[in-house]
Amino acid sequence: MAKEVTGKIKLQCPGGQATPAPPVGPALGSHGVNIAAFVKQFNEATRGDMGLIIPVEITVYKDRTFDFILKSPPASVLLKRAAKLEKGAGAVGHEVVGKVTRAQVEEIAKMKMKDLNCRDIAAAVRIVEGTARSSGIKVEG
Amino acid sequence: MSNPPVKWTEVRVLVPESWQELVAEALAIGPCTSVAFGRPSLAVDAPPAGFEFVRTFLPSTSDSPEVRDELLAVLRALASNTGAAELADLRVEFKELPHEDYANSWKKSWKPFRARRLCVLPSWSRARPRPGDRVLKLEPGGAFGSGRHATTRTCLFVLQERIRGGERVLDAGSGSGILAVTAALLGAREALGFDIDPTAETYANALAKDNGVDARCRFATGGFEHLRGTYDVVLANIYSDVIQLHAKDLAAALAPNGWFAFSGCPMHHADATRAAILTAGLTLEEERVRGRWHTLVGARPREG
Repeated sequence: MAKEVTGKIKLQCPGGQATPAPPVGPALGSHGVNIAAFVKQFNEATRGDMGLIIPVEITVYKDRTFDFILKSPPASVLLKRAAKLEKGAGAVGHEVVGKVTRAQVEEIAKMKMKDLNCRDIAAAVRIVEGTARSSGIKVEG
Repeated sequence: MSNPPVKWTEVRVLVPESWQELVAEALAIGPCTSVAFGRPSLAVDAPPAGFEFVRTFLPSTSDSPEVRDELLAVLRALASNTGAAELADLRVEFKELPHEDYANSWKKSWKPFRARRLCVLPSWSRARPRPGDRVLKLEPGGAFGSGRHATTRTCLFVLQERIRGGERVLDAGSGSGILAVTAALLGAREALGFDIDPTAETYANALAKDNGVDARCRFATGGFEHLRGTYDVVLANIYSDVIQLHAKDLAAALAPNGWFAFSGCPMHHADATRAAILTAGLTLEEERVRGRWHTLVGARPREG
């Protein structure tokens, strides 16, 4: 079908657990989008990541139909995976619970650069480093 | 006694660009499980250059001064926890939203509508069609094609004027299935649709079932590899550059004396699309214009 875009909506919702409550309801409802259909599709697409925060970008078309893409996981999730951790720090910013290498940080920064809307890789690295620090993950090297 | 309706408080944080994700994660504590990025509506002033809004929501059942203090403390600690000075003194607003039934309020914008004698009714509508109208029951969903776009609507008119009954119909880029299902409702013997959108097939099959024509409609996920044999009617409401690229495939799928309707053609692509159709050996019989969208209707001449 010939699709004419009228809006883009960016959300982060827990995988498999989105509901019509805010932010989904007001964000999509203002475009006349079938909220139940979005919730169902999103939860089906993310049920393998139950409870994990998933960034999603929804495109709304002129006839009020929609589609969506799941974006890369948050940097903190990628950092925890790289550090082989199940959780971040208990006392945020104080306790060191794991470590990653500078190369891993750069790899994550490259992956996240577009979604973070960074102008260059150095800016993305700085954000990933900040995320690591606040998650209790030390960057080595 | 029923519980009072849940109200919501929006927590709106003005964040330096590129740091939204980190702030969003910091906000995800307790009942705040989801966030939205950007301003809530055009009525709200745009953020200053280099900034963006990150918004999370507190249900009234969990909103309290303690919870708000906890959120503010988390945000205040971000600058030192991350080493990013620009995250100091983030501007935070709490705004109570009026109660709304979000699960159902979106339906208000989906009114029934008529296209000639076809009455398109949302599944929950209690509107009564006019005598003689055909009814298409539609659960508005994710797959494109609700009948509200000019290109789809024109095709609905063309189908009502040209389907005689008994045809085999191909719908290339069938989306929600609205055109194939309408063709079947109007008497087509068989309608096949395909679409590269992986969600479309499910919607289209449900639409056919809801309208009692599922025995005569088939839908598939994929592209032009689904073209097999010939059809009395070929519909394509897709991007016009795809029509141009596949004009010969579409022409080959049309039986001699069969007719086509190719829609989805913006004004500035009309000349190129017309040329591709003629080069593919089809003849043009009419061109309908709705807004800036053209629909090209014609036939494949009888051979010999």
